[in-house]
Amino acid sequence: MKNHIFLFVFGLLFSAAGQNLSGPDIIKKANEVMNQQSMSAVMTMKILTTSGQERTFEYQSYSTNYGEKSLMVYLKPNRVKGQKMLMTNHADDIWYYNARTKRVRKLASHAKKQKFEGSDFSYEDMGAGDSFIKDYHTSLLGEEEKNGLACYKVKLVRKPDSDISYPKLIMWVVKDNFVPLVIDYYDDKNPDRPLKTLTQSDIRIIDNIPTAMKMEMRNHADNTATTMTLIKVQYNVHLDDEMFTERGLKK
Amino acid sequence: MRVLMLMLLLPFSVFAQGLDIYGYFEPQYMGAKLGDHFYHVASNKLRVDLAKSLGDNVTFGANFNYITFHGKTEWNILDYLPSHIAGTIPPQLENMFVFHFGDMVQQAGPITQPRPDRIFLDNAFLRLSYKKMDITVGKQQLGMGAGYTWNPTDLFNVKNVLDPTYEQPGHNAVRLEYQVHKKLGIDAMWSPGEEFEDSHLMIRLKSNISHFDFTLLAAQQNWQRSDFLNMLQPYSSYRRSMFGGDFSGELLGLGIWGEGGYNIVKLKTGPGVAGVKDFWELVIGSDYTFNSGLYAMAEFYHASQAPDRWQDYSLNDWLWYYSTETRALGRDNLFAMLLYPATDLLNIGIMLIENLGDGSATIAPNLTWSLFEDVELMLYLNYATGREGRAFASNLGSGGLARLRIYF
Repeated sequence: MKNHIFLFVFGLLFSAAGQNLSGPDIIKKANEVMNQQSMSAVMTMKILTTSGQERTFEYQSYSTNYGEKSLMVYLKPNRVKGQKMLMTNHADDIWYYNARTKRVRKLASHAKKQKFEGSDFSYEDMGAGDSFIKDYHTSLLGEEEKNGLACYKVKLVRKPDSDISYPKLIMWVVKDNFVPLVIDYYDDKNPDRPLKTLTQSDIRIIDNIPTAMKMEMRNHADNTATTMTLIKVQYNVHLDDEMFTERGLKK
Repeated sequence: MRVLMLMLLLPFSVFAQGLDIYGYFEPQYMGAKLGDHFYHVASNKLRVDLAKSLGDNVTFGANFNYITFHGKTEWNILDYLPSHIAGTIPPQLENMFVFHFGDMVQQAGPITQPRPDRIFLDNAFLRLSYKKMDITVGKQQLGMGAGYTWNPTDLFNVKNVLDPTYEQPGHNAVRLEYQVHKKLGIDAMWSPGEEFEDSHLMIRLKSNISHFDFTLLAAQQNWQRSDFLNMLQPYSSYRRSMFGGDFSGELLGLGIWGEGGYNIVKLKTGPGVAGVKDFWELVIGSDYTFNSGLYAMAEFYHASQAPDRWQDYSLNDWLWYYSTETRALGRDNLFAMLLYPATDLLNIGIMLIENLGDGSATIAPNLTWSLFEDVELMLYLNYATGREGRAFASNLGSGGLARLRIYF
């Protein structure tokens, strides 16, 4: 799946520790880690709102062709059960299927800026895929310990022709496995202020791939947080291409 | 007797294993201002859905609805017509314009009278899936077209412009979807009538170029039109042939879509209805989401058969519009919407629906609030701005709606 979140759950089997890597090299490797040939996962998403209420979603996600195509099927709660989101061409093409009206609607890519089910993730955060490479210039700031792990600290600055929401990212990538551990997303209106922070934790080896089982996105402006937890994940599974079509959405 | 019951129940219990049961309960309140009165209509809707996969290739789906109506459940459409139109109806015919919510009857002593309840099987279908093909048989939702508020290519449904995303009823049909090639799909529908020539037929070719999806279609419909000016022979049937299509994609960062069709109508039976002739309809829309999360959308709808001037709206035009035989009263229409996520759980918005020909409009501020995990509240108010005789006349069209929905 090409989304940032899913990207982060994938680990790298090999270590490049000790190599002299540039910023773009590190991001390229992180991108490879995040985009496996195919993936199937069940995830939960818990939203802690400004009013202190909690909302929980559960969905099944699939990705194929190294994250180029992804499909998300909502399982819970009943309010959204059966709804589906299909993204192809690294989320440049998005379709939404409403299970109650049985209608498929093509969304323009600006829809990625909308909040994902009221969470602190936008669709852009979920489905940016190769965005780290495509939309940003990258430079290595150095090496730093973060949350007890040795990391590369990398700065990503938005390219002038990109319409991505964040002007700058600061990313800590684990040196041993290239899993992005922490990402600060900066505010478009105030590029010196972190707007949101993504933290990944509970990294386990699944199918020989280091996988972050837990992701938390904290919105500093709204003082809200959303936590995603992987319940089940499988890599390199066979997924029929028909699943990733408009017709497949209706099944 | 017990054995018989067991025999009857056993197949159902076997079938029920793995049967997915879900749905929602929806209490709703609607208020409408009419002259000096403000009327209330309340309803309670229970929708129960059933779904079951019978192996990898067969799916069964169904839902039934039970709706009770309360408050003012009897309406006279003449109250919603401009006085110069309503005044042309002879008093002895006025009863023909009264309708009731609900379609059940109850016995009150020797008298049978309407009861404002409604229960019906909305959908019940079987879907057979093959590698490249799906066939759906039975009563099913048949929504189509790229338009958000208006869908000129949809022969089966007409949306409520104030509530365009509400689910549409099921239609009896056979639908075949065939993926000829990665870039080409065929979608064919047949909804049988009394005879084959009375059936609804539609075939759509679906493809995409770059980031645009598009559809070309041809359709044929047995099109019954009402003539409220001729109460002796109020119906005529036409054969309607439509050629059209739709597209949706992105241009210069904006989402854009369009949908249109040219319709050829030929009288089959009946005396014919004045004003019914070949026509075309077109929808063009665009949307954008700002970084703040604000979503803006606008859609334009042109219906060549509709009157351009409000002075030309006839009784038929008004009643066709109210009975959803047509999608709009005037020729050129605009729908615009702003939507903003005020909090994680609350979306606020405003809609504008304007009849560009007569300059009247209705403005509808609205909100959707997730009260609890599976409980959602939707509210809108609509305020009509037009003068007497226009599509959105202020003396006829203002009101509001509150809808609670509890999913299970």
